Amino acid sequence: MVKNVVYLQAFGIGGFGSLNYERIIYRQKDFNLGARIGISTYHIYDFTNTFNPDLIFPIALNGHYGKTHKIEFGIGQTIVSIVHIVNSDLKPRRDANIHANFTLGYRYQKKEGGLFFRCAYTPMIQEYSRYRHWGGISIGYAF
Amino acid sequence: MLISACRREDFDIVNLNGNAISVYGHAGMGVGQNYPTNTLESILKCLNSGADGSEMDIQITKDSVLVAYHYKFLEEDTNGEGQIINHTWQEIKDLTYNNPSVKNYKLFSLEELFSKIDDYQDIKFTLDCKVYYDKEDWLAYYQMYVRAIDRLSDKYNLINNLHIESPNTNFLALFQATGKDYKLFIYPGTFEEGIEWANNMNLYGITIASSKISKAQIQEAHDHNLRVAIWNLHSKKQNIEAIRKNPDIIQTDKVKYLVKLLK
Repeated sequence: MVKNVVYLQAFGIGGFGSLNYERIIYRQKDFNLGARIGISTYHIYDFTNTFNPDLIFPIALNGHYGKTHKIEFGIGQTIVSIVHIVNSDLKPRRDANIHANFTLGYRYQKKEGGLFFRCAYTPMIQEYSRYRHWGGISIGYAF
Repeated sequence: MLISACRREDFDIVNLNGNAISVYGHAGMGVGQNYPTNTLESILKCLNSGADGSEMDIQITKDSVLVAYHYKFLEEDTNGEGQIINHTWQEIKDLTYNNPSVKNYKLFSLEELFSKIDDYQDIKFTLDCKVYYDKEDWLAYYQMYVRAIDRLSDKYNLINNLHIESPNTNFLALFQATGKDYKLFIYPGTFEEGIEWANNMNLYGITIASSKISKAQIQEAHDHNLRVAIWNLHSKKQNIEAIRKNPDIIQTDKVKYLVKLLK
């Protein structure tokens, strides 16, 4: 079975969308465990129109079970470096935060590679204090 | 005509605004943009993008703090609950908008904005005053609300920067009772209702959705010396059609596009 997947996710653990790479790090019969890392942003320019991008890095471990049609579950962290406004002086400030992420859904991926598809419930615990329902759809290529 | 080929000189603008259309952001950068509406980031991004001003939805807390927020209930768009009028500013100042999930946008008070913003002398702010109050002591509530705006206006010398917008004629009448030269806009359900009230009350203008007013009606308003602000413009096509109606102000959801077209 191929080990690598590159995909775009709309919504999901990267916020509104992300570009991701995943690699199988463990395999046992029909069970596979993959490590995922992605990158995303909300804004490239901040509210002062200065180049000052938000940086969002979704990372996760994803286990999936099945042959071509799989059930998938994952857990991870979404690490962000985000530009906010400081209300006291209206200036931009960069803050880093971590949010827990989870994945439970359906995965389509053939052993020999090719089209990859995922549709999943991807809730997050925002700053480990606020549970947020969310979901995502992924499409990509396995190789 | 291709939308992308439109240029300022393609429009023959005739209105009460010196034959120019003022570009205001709709609650900042507009609905469906990548900032929640009525956030400081959205307002400032709008102003930093070259707009002439911005519209903001405002409400008042029970301790008389003016807050930018659109909905009747906090839970509709934030992690708070209840109505703003039932809270103090201290209780709600750290609330965050629901979306996006990995970035916290907070509520802000108008005091925070005007105490810190630089060079606002040429900028206009339309305050769309949300009046979500149906109790018997509504007059006291309206008076508190108007006093708070009046105090803010005096403190930061905003009388020439503010447009006050409301569908509530009793509310607008209280501004007239101050004796100050507030620019008051009625926000009617129909054009006919709006022009009747605006004429009867000697208001400054009418704010109305673009789909509810025609070019001829805008001309009729102008004939009565009434300015017209139009909104609910999400696409480039809608903005171009709006320009052709000759309004005085466009509150747009496409700030950068309209600024590029008209400025």
